[in-house]
Amino acid sequence: MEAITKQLLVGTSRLGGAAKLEAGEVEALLAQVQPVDQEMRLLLTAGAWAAYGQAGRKPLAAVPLPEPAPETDRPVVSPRAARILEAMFAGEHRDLLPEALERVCAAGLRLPEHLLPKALDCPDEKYRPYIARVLGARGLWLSRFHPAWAWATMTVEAGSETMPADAEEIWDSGQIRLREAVLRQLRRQDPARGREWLAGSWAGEKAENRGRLLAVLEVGLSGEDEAFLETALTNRALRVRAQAAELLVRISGSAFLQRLCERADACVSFKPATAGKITSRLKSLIGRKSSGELVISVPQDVDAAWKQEGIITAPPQGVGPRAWWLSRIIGLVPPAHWQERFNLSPAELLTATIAEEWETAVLKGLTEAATLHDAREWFDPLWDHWMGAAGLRKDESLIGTDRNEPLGPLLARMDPEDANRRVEQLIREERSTPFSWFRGLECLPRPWTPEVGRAYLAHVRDRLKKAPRVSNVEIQTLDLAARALPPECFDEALREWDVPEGNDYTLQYWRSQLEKFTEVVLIRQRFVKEVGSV
Amino acid sequence: MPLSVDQVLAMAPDAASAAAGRKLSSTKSWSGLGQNDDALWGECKGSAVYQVRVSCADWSYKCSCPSRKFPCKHVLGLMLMAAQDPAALPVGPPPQWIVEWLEKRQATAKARETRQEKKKTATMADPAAAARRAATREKRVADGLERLELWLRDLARNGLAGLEAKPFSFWDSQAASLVDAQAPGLATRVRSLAAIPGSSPDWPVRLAEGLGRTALIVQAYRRLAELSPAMQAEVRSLVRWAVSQDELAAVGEVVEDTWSVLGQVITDEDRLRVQRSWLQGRQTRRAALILQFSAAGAAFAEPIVAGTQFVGKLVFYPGACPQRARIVERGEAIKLTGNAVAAPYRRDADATLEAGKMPAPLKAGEPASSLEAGRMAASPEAGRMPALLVGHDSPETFLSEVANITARNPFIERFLCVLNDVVPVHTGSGQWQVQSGNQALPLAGDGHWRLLALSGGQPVDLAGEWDGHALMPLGVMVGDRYELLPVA
Repeated sequence: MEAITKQLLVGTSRLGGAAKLEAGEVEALLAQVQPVDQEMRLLLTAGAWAAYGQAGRKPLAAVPLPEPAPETDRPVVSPRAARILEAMFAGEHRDLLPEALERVCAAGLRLPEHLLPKALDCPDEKYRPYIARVLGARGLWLSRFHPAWAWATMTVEAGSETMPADAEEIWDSGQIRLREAVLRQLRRQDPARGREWLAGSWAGEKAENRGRLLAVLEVGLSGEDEAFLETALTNRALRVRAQAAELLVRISGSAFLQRLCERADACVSFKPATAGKITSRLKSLIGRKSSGELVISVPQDVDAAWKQEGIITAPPQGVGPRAWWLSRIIGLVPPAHWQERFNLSPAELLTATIAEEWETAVLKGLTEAATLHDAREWFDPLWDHWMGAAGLRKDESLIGTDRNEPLGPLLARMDPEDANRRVEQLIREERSTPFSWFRGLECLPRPWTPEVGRAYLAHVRDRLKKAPRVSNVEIQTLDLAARALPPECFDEALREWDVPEGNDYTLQYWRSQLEKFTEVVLIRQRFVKEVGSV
Repeated sequence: MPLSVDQVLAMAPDAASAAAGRKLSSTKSWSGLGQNDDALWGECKGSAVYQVRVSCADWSYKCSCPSRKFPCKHVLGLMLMAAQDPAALPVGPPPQWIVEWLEKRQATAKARETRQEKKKTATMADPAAAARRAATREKRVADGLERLELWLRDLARNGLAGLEAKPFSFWDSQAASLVDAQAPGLATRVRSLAAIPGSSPDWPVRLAEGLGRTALIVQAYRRLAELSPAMQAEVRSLVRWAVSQDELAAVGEVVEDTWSVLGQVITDEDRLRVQRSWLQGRQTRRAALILQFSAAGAAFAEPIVAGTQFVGKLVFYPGACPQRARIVERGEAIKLTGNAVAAPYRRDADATLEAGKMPAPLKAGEPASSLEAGRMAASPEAGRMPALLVGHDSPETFLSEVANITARNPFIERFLCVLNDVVPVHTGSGQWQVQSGNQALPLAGDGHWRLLALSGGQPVDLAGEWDGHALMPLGVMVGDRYELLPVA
């Protein structure tokens, strides 16, 4: 057949002579056909050989069989649940995957076989940790046959309690996400070795990875890390320096922390209250007794060393540089430092009078510091202070580049129960605060508690009833709520929404957002029903 | 609704329709939903209100929307809803428009019958006119073949190299000329050749084979008189596939069985879609290929859903080793059930197949009889369905069946391949094959990951289509389920 094919490829016109046919049976067959030209002879021979080839096909040789998949495995999800997941893998509401897969994992189930290739092919890296946990023994077995699926085993190993056997290989050549995971693992078991790994690869790391990897040193952080972190303080990238600074201040007794406190002390001092001051009298009028005054003196120009040590970043637009420096410095100093130095409780410190130009910067700094140092005794006083009358006067421009700062991170640091309760209160009170309820909702862990969910739904329904034609923020929160409401609130969320008749832009907006909202809640509800709300 | 969601989705003409159908599969877009033994119905609110109906007998459907996709998203949505949540469609008396539709369908079927009757009598009435028509047709076919042969010669003279750069029209104009010559069978063949150049590293061989086979058919048609009646029928059907229904009813062999639709391959050839459905009789173990064509995005005339089975009659097109068939009578299509009977029975079935197995060459014209023994023995106790996939237990026995069939009819190019206890393997060199003992068969194409995942590296029972070179897996038994595989 090859010889025939070659001749056909070239064409008889270029063969220069008669076509060469394979002798034998085909030749004998051709002899029976009326005289035909060489083109036809070639073609007929090809056709005959095609049939001969088809009849004469022999089995191929077998190759050694790979080890079969383990026989025992978790049970698979129901066919209905599988169909919902299949649609998500295909891109329909893909953002619901983490929640859905987490439920599958919590129910002790795994993905069915037919979904495994699609799950392993999932292009979006951020879903992989969730996928890895529901692949089951079958999925992990399958992933070993495809180089592009190597992430599965690595992810499972990197996420497991024990150090993976090929940890060093992952560290040397894995994706950044996996490298972070093994480094975190190693830091838990052997912080010194973890630091050595990072120090060893430090010079060759990509700039954008350095900050991420450095942040992992938070696990098992101790005085032994100081020297390495000090070298990181000289890095060219500001982000890396800032990261190093945030770690160094959490090592008690580090030289950097001492330098920082000295600088901070030079900026902030405390003058106990004396009678007669106007501001303190004003404060006592609204029920807050001032403990005294925090006197602020920020240098006109910034010390070059501050910049070098990652304390100073460029101020966001609309914020004065000195106020920014002040909030950055206070944001790094452990809040306990001030308690000791001025011998005041958090609540007392917060009632101290501060010159108006510095007030927001100080408050923002303290909030960031409490979050960074996990100073829990500050959480409640700080929150109350922001939400109280004091917060109302705050200039929002200093709150941060991200509008959720600094209260969002604080909320995220709180016990989920406290955080939920605080946000629920915000929704119920419906008053103007520097940190609105909808920002709070964004910062809450998902799913929300049933209380928050109910308060939210009641609020939104109320707004729709009272002012359906007023464009408002509630409509925009539906997207988030559809994904964050807990299963306990699904029925309430799906109850008929009465959007009045009419074609106003706002009414149409309500309708379209509510339609999307309902669709997402329905999918989640169906899934929970199938897999259980464990 | 005995159809599964997967099966409904498999009917979708494309992914977009499937997604749109899924979106419409919740009750909120619908009103007047209902079902009875004969049909499903509902009204879907789109840019207008569309009346959607689906017949439960054969899953044929109709929607009043102007979509040119078949089935449209409304039909898919209705069927999906019925598959997911049958309670959404309350059982009740059908509305007037459903009654009318069902009545009209019955009337059409009856009209077709009477028309056929009439035609038959007409032909008998005027044999001279019929002969004249036949002669004219033969003349046109002969002219068409003449032109095809000339074209083939030119190809052989100028060489196949460079054909990958030719536009589709190069092939299509030749195909169109064959359609005009009333040789649509050859036309389809020529169109399908267009896909070969450049498609794989071994395309020159495949094209040489394809052109060679075409040349053989032309040659065979010229010498039709010298062939046996069975081969005559075969060659005729290759040239012009449209054997008339009357003719078929008169001469075709009718086989009654429970027919499992093991898989379906749909290929798009420009404006023409070709659907190949592979069926196997559960009692007779007969393999049947149902070919359907549709032009310009229209629906296939006979709705055949992969992964379903129905009790019914197939009529096989006459030929040597009849394989191609069409449905003459069918009961309700229900989901394929797997090995209703446990393993010991399966072995029984294997043994009986062994006894009446294909290798003993079937003589043309009496294909059913040599299987008769197998059929009798395979007939289980009342109410028990034989195992779904019973086939060859080694690549070698399958290939020898292929050799036998090819020996009797060299024009058959595709075969249903059912293999028991084979292990799918992705070899180190990136090839795919299924193995049994020390033998293997290559799989067609790439990416058989779903098959590998389903097998878990264990032996499985598999159905596929063998094209003389490689096996395209169509479905696999997983425990008691028959899982369809995506056809690449």
